Amino acid sequence: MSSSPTSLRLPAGLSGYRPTPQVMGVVVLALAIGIVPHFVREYWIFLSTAGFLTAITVMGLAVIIGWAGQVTLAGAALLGTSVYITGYLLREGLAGSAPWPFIPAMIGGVACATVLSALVAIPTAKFSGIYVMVLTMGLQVTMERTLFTYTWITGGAGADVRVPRPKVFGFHFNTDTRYFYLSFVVMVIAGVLMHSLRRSRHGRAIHLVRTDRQAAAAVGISPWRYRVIAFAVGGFLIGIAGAFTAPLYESPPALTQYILFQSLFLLAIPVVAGTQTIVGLASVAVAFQILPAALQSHRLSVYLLGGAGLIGGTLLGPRGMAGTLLDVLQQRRDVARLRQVAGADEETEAPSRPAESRESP
Amino acid sequence: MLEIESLRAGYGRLPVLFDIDLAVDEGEVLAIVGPNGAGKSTLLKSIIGVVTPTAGRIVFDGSRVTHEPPHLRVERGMALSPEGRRIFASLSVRENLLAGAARTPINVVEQQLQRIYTLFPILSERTAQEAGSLSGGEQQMLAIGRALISAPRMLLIDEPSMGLAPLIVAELYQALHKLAEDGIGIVVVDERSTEAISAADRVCVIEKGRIVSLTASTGGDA
Amino acid sequence: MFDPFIVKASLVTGVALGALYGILAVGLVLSFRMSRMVAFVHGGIALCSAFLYWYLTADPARTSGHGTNLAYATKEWPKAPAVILAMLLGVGLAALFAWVATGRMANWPRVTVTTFALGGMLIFTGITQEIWPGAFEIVPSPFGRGRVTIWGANVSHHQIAVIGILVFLVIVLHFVVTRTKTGVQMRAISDDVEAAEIVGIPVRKVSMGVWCLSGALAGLGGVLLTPMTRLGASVVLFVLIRSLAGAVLGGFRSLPLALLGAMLFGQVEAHTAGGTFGKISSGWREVILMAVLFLGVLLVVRRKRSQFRLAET
Repeated sequence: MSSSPTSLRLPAGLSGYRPTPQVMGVVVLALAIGIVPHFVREYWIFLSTAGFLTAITVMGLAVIIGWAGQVTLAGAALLGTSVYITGYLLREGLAGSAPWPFIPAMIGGVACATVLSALVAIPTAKFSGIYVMVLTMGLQVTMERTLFTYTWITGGAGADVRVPRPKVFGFHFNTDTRYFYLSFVVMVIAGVLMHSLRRSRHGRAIHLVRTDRQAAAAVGISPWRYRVIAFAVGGFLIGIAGAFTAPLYESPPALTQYILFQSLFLLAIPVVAGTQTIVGLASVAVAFQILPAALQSHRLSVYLLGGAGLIGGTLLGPRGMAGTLLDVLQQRRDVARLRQVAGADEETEAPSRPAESRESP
Repeated sequence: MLEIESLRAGYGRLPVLFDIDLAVDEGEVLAIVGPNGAGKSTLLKSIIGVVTPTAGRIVFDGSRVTHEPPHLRVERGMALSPEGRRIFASLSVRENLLAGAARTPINVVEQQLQRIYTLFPILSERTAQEAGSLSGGEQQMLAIGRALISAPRMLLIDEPSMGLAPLIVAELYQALHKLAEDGIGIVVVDERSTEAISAADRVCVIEKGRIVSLTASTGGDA
Repeated sequence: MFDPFIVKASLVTGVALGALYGILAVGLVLSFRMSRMVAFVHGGIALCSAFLYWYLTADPARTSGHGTNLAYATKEWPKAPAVILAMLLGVGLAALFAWVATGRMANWPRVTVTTFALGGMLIFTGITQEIWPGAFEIVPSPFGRGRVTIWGANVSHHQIAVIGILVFLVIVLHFVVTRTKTGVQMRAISDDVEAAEIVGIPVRKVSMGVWCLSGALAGLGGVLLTPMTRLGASVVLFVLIRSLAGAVLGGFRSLPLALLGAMLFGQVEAHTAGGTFGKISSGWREVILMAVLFLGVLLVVRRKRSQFRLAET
């Protein structure tokens, strides 16, 4: 694993991105993705598909947590909004028009989630974190009691309401295996997007806003603006996840999937995984999706899993499980390198990294 | 009365103090001086117990207190007036003084209140006032008074003169002098080293977490 | 358009609702002042206590699934010991949570400790859902089903009791906080934890005690709220959000302002639901409450800004 190019490392001060384990992870994951669907029952394929979409959702949450340093409790509400709006457009279109094709319907759902997320961010951007939590919780409950109760949009609980699987450029993703690959590709694209955004000028600005507001203000970066951007990007990613979830079940998903408790469950994932590695986020997301089903015989409720995730994640510290793991790997590599150099002091920044000060989860 | 043996302490993985050996007697004034970040405040904090030492031991009155929580050390007779005063801004002056008297017998508290009010008469005029509205000098007096309420025999004072006018600093040191005459051991850390040194019996210089010199004060007092 | 009968009835219901929110809000403020966390965990504690109380007192014939093998075998205890046990459970759970949370978290950011509290809430909720999955039950009031007419409004004994309990609580707490040694220590800790430690306040012990008290209040809140609505995870959470909203108006620190906030939300809710302003759907009611909450936060933040002139994170 030492063969990977260390020259890819970011300038100091940015997120501690180290590619080696990630590249490994991607390779392993890609292999698994290629092989597994041919050997397991359809149910697991379906669950993994849902896992990929959850991964996209939590990438959105990770953007808000990791970049803006804020915790949103409206994750499920944003997701549900996109799911139901997209589903509605796919079923009926707007104002009696014919059902929309997938891509415009997706854009509709994503736009709603993005705008909603940004709308909360605009007035709350100057508030401290706990107020944002309370207000996003309020948004969550408001959505539950308004949009989610309009059965003409959500489709209600009727099993006879069908949401067609998407047909994109003539290709119909009509089987679960096809949808599995589609979701995986979308997840990878979302991950790459998030990664490149983080390394862009804007990403760095956002990072600075989060770590030191005063310094950011001093160099002319408006904390307010970047916080709103982080919320919008987060809402966008969650919206994408929702748009692809809409046709997943081929009928409107149950309301209980988008209530406040589900928001907390979703929040547990980036809190456990940490917001630094995208592969870590994705794997924890898939695990959290599959675990309750796999352990169904032991009646592991999602509440307990989510609660354990939130508690364990906060105790682990801001870098989460993936970050902690990376720290250990990095430390071992540092030790090895220091032994090689045998005392010569080339760089001392690396070993101090695990002692980073605690910041928001 | 207070003995510190090869004490090490730090924050997280960052070590600040290395092998500190120090002893302070009753009625003695010890001044600790040194550059910013040398570890002076950390030393006082580990003596009172809000910073846990990683090695070494602290002995007070013959008993090891190295791992005792602060409130037990206060009960034994230590007290700290912390850097930056740290008074309870929303509490009244009287409540500030009483906050530290959790386990002190009532008659002692009454007695100490009288002592504090004679030492700093201005506080007795402001008993009901919210502490946050006091002037800097008054806040410093309150911080020292708050430390005195439990009738300590060892008083640790961190940066008493920070941001204060010379006249007030002189007044504060006069008060410290009186306390030392009553037999209280005093350890004072001060950036304004001249005042501290001239008030002290001994001077301890700390640099980069180590004691570099420990000598009788040449300044002496008046 | 304002029917005086409806307005009066809503006013009285609003006071009772506000009192209910107030009991939980007091617990939230107390925990915040000790541990700088928005104690979402109180929602889970209230739910556990409510379930215990229901399990001990409800008539099995009135539980859901009655007549099938899914019926719940609830006991039919007298109410008083059940209330006490429920409150003790609240104390126990709060103590357990505080034991894990306090101390090591002294220097963590508020958002992180609050996330931790969310985890506690989920765990406690999860426990009830493991034992009684999906329960949505009718809970008997500890004060019976009697009703009286006060000032033209028909009020239940339960509502009067809730108001009475809150008034009693406020008087006792006011005395403790302003007049006793413990009250001074509590306020000192909430001003500056480290300084409190330095001057010799047994911080852990005091904050543990306050957590136990707020746990008892959460338990009591759970017992008192379910007879007014139903017993279910989302219902309890819903009430918790109202109490939170009340506490927000006090900046999570001020008890009188938090109570005022709770009363305000009680009134808004009662009038929008009771029909003072005509028929308002539950969705719109939520939007109105959100708007009030939002304005409240705006006010609090403004006030803080002008006090400190610095941005907090």
